[in-house]
Amino acid sequence: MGFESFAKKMETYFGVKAEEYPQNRVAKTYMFKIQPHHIREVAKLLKEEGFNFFHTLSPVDYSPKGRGLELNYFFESIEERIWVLIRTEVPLENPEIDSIHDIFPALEACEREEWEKFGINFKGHPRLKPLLLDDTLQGKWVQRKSYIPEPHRK
Amino acid sequence: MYKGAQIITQPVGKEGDLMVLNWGVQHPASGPMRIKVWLDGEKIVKVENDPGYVTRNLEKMLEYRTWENAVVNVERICFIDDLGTILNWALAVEKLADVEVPKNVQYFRVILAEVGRIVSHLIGIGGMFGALGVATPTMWVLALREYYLDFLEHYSGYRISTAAIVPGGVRFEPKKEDFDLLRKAVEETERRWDDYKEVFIDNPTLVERYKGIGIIPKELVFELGLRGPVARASGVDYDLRKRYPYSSYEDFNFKVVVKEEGDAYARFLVVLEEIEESVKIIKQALEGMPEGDKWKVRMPKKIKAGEAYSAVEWARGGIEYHVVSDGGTGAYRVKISAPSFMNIWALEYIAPGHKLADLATIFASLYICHGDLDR
Repeated sequence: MGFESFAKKMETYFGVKAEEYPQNRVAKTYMFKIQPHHIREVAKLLKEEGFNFFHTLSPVDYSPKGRGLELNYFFESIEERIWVLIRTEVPLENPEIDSIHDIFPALEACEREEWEKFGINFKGHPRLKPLLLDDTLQGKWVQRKSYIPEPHRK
Repeated sequence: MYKGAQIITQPVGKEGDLMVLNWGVQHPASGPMRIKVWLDGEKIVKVENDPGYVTRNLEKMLEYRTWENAVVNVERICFIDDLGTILNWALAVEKLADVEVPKNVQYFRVILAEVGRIVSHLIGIGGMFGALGVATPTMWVLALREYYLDFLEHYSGYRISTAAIVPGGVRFEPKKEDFDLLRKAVEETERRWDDYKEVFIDNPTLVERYKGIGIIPKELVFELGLRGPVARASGVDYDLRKRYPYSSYEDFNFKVVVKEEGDAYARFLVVLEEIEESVKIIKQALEGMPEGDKWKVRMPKKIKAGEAYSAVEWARGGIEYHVVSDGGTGAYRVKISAPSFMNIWALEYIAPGHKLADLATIFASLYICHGDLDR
């Protein structure tokens, strides 16, 4: 258990190497860039190896830069004080990824929020229904770059 | 006995045998939020949160702002403690731009952040009593809060939503009168605190309604990623100020308040005792304030492409931003991960089994701010 064995298993199972992520001001962080269809296995591995504290799910829409939707999952190991960033990318035309809400229940609400704002279809999520946004904004995927809000003042 | 996080997603009961009650949006204890409650007599069978009545979608707004005037939007995550949210924004932007601020600025930021925490915790305690319909303690804490608001008003011109911290420093140079007002607020707190504790801690109304209610087990804290006073009341020693010090917090001597019980009363005590610790930090910062007359460092108008992640211990727990820059004058994308948004979901797990009257106290003890729940 621990980061060393997690990094070793990530390399043998998925062929992914740990990269340093110095942009995190808070703590020592390592980044793993994975394929989207591996997310459930990776999440299970994270939990087994002690990365039991979930922080943030942050999608970024890179479509104006010619890329897809990037998903960033931030986890922390409470004992080792090491953070792990799991990064993956899904195409904007068909943004689909498996839900990991049953492995990390904290993600239940976060996935629901990102579904509402980005239109990412989290497969297997029990209640993908409106959470925060107004009815008039549903289905417009307001957080994507293609959505331009109407100006307040004319 | 705790059997792992379980959430009820199937329909409960046969048609007609349970009462469905909309607790909120207009309930005096709920704030602008609806909680759908399924009731069997007086017993709560299932609870469903329905937030979103004050959503402004600040994450989208921030994409249309420059690095500095984004402060106006960021501080409106929650007006009660706006200083912690702006501090995190400043730290994130400084990380992106590779800028260091001088030590005196760091100390003054600590003072501001702790004032924000005290102001917010006082309102939180008022809210916990308010949920019982006991008005006197609420008035007491609001009266004490005024002294801190006087300091903020004299320093920044505003009592709430101060915009006092900006990327690269603090907005104004603090004057002697500012420090005098803050010392007065601290003295007033210490003068009143024993009376306050006598009335608050062993208050029979509060103890009867809060003790043993809404217990959050330690395992649930990890499963749901709960933060702040809610996590610390369940025996999780997690405080970003101590764990990953920022802005010179390592220079100060204070203790992280941790309680083992995990019930609503423990959460109340954590919030109450954290005020004492914040007062301690402010006193140390006032005494040890380093020399320096530079209160703002020059920040670039455009910041190079890249990303930064930053988190600070805010009044309600860790508030975390993931900021992405594409080399422009403002952020390309900001993700705001807010503590109330994580903490509110504990209600769906812990409320079933309690009486309806306990819902108000459990909800108040979770110390939710609707501003950062909805953003």
